[in-house]
Amino acid sequence: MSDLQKNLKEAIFNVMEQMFFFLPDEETAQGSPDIDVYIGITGDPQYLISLFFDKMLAGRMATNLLGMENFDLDDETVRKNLQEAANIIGGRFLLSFENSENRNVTLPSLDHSKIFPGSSPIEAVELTVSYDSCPLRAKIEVVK
Amino acid sequence: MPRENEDMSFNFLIVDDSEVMRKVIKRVVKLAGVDIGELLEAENGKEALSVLDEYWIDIVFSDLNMPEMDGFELIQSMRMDSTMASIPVVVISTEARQNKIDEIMEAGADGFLTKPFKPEDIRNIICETLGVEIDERFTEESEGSDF
Repeated sequence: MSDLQKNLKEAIFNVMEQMFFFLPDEETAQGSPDIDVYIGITGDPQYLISLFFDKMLAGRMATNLLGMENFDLDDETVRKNLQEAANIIGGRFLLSFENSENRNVTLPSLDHSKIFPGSSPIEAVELTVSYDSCPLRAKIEVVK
Repeated sequence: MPRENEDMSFNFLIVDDSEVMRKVIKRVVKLAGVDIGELLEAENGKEALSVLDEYWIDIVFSDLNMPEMDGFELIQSMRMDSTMASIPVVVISTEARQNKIDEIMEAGADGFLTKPFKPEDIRNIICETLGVEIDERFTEESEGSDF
C-alpha cells in the first residue's frame, strides 16, 4: 500500500469514527457504492480525491451526525452530509503533507469536473474499506 | 448594533457554507447548557457581516473555507470595523496545521476548533469566550461523543 493510500485510509478511519461513530469492518464488503463525492488538494501536484459511498451507509452517516430519524432524511440532505464528510476527510488528509507545501482543500462537489476543471489524471490509486457491511471506495488521482 | 435586552441570554451567529455543519453546530450549542437568545446563520463572510450589522451578536462561530468571503477575510473585516472589532470569533474548520492556526489567531480569532470536534469542546470554548459558567444541563447523551 502506498503512502497516499495509507494516509487517505487513516483520514477516512479518523473521520468515520469521530464524526459518524463508525468503526471499520474486519472484512471488506463487496458491491458497487452508488453515491460519489469529490474534493481536491491544491498545490503541485494536485490531487483529486473521489469517495464512493453505499446509499445505506450514507443514510446511516447522516442519521448519526444530525440526530435525525432515517425517515426524515431526503436525498439532498444525505448528499450534503457526504460533501461535509469529504471536506473533513480532505482536511485530515492534508495533515499528511509538510507544512511548507502550500496546499489547501478545495470545496467539495458531487461533480468531479468542478474540482480541477480541464485537468486529466496522470496516475491513480484506490482503496476500499467497509462499514456495517457496506463498501466505501476511495480513489486518489494525481491530476495535471 | 446595540443589545436590546439586558437578560443573560446570548446571541450566536454560525457561519458555514455547509448547511449540514450549521445544523450540527446549532445542535451542539443547544446542548451546551447556555441561555440562547438568537441562533442565527450565514452561509459566508459577506452574509455574516450583514447579520452583524443588523443584530447584536455575542459570539461568532465561523468556518474558514467558504465561497464569496472566507472566514479569514471575515475576521479581518470585523477587526477593522469599530462596532464589530470586539465580538469574539471562534473558527471551526477542517484546518489542523499549526502554522495556519497561528495565522488565523494572529488575524484576530479568539479560539479555534478543528473538525471533527467534541460537543464539550464547544461548551468549553463558549465558557472561556463569554466568561460564563454553565450548569450541568449538558446531557449525558452528548458527553464523550464527537461531531
